[in-house]
Amino acid sequence: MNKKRDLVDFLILLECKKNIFYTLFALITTIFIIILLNLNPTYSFKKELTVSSSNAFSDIYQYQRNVFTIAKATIDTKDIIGRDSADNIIMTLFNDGNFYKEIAKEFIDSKFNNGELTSIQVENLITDSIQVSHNIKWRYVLEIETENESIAYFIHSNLDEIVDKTISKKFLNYITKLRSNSIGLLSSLADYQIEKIKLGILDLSNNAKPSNTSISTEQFLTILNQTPHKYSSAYSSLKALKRTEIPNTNIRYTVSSSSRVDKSSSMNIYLAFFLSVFFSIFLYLIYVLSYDLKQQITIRKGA
Amino acid sequence: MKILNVLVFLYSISVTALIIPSLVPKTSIILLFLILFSLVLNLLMQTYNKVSEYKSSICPVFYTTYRNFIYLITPIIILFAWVVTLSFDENANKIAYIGMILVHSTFLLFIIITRAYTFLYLKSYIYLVFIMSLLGILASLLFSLGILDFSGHYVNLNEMTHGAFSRDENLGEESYLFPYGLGLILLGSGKLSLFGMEFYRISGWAHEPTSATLFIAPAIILLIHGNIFKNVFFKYLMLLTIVIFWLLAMSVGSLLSFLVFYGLLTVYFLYTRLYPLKSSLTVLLLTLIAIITLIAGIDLLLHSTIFTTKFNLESETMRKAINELLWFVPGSDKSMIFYFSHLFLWSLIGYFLMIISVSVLFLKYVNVYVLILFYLVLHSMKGSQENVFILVFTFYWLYLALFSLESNENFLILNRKSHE
Repeated sequence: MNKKRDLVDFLILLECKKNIFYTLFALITTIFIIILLNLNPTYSFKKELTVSSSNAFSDIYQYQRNVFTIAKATIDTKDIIGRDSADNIIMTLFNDGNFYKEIAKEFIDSKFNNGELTSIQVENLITDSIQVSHNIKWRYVLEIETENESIAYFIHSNLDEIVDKTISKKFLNYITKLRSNSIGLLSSLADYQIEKIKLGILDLSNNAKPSNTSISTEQFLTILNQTPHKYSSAYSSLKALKRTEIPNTNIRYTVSSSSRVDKSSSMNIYLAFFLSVFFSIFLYLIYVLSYDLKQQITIRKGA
Repeated sequence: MKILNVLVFLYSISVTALIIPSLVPKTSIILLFLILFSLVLNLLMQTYNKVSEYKSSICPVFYTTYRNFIYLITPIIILFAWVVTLSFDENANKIAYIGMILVHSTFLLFIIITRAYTFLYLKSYIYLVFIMSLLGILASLLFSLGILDFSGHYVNLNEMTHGAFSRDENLGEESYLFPYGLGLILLGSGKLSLFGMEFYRISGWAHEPTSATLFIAPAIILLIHGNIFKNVFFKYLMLLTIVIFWLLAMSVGSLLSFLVFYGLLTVYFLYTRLYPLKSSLTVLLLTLIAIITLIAGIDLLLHSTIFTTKFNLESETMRKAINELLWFVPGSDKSMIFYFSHLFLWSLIGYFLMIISVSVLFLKYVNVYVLILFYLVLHSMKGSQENVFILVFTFYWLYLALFSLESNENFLILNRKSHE
């Protein structure tokens, strides 16, 4: 009887029992194939969103400058929204739960929705499917991976539009507020200027009347009420501001490019094969060692 | 001469493996000059003739034969082919690659010329690991007990090493704590939990726990299976210190590697010795205890972030490990440079495996250097093949394993000379 063995003896034993390996390999590979067939496929693609160039924002820039000039306010570049603001909005959008709610709402109203999922399920699926990386200014790389085909194709064709729409809403909101605040400010100033003139006439008699005229205080007040812009600079500005039109904010804030939607199995087929080989070898070794141990016990019992 | 040789040896094996050499700018050039200077001095003083300094019962002897040179040069040729393919990348630092090949080639010459000092090299390497471990444990203790004020000891390795280590490139100023230069504590990756305990991992003078454990693992194996130190107390004191450091570093890759390593070694031992009763029962008992402990603590284990962050198909670590193992799988994001460079990288790994196989299958013995080589291959399989197989440190163990195949068998830990 051999008292010592080496690895060659073990290899010989492995060779003798090779059919066990083939059986195990066939069995485990079959199990992996069944798993692969039953796993839902995933749909993935990459989307790049780049904030449009400054030219796209020219009308918006110009409008804001006009408002500031008319309102005689000091222009601080921080107060002017444009390309940088769009970039900041996109940066916060993908961390904002409301944005995902908005996408979910758009999906439910779209032709892509087959009515199988509730709005909360859609929202969760969309939130889980989008991964954003932002390494370069003005450029966002979105990696989308989901098991839901409709959501994948919906995001593929609509996400940039939704982003644009959201930015547009925020821009419009800001510009409208800027306009109304400026109007409010100018009208208070105009009222103050006119009131000051009126008080001057009433309190100081004719001091505020235009010179070389023979009109009465009542007549002057009527003229003042009819043509206040002639006497109040703020009123003129207010009139000019009211005449300005809010620029179109429905512009393309982003330029996008997408890869095609890839349909793949949730588990890499090569990984599955690799794992089946690994598990087969592992179980095979366990089997051969157990077999050898049993043989040794039998031999020793016999001895 | 001894001191110079030891210093050059420690500097060479520490380059890229530890951060200390990278604190000096242009460290490869300095190393290259140091090796050349040392080589010239050794040639002038003819130290290669001092064979009497060999501890032949402990260290392998290199016989200067033509065949042996071929065995030693082959991995450098493969490494050269590998970096040539990498240099086709437009972002490749070609100067660094040339420097790397020059360092490897001169280091091989240095090791051959100064082979009389091999025993001293191994001893000094273990001392270095011991000091690093001791200071690392001290740093960890001081930090966890909150004895000292560490406010001025935060470091960013990327800045500290002039970009040589990029692990914390975008992690800000407080990615590591390096109290009094004792050892690094990883703050950037946050606290990790294991069995309900939360702690910051340490990495000694290496940039991450995986590198630290790679550097100290050969010392652990040498202390367990080698006989470098005669003083048993000192030997076990060093072993205990290094093992505590290894535990505090908590590298999952190293943990798994040691599990597989000792698992296979145990099976090999039991099989070749026909399942000796005592050893078999001990192994069975230990396995049962491990299984019961695992079942009892499964809940705590599943909530340990140290494992959950690694054993997750979406984690960076797992993805990298799988991608490196399945490098040959076609992919649209893989370039020709990627395939060719990996072809050479895996040829190099194949060469390492061949040396191990030759030792175990044909020469029918396993020595401590072959064991170290086997551990290094296992450790690299966590996805760090590209980092492990360029290290002078890794190549040194290959050279020792090659020397040992040719030399005496006194230092073998598992051997069988004949069938009885």
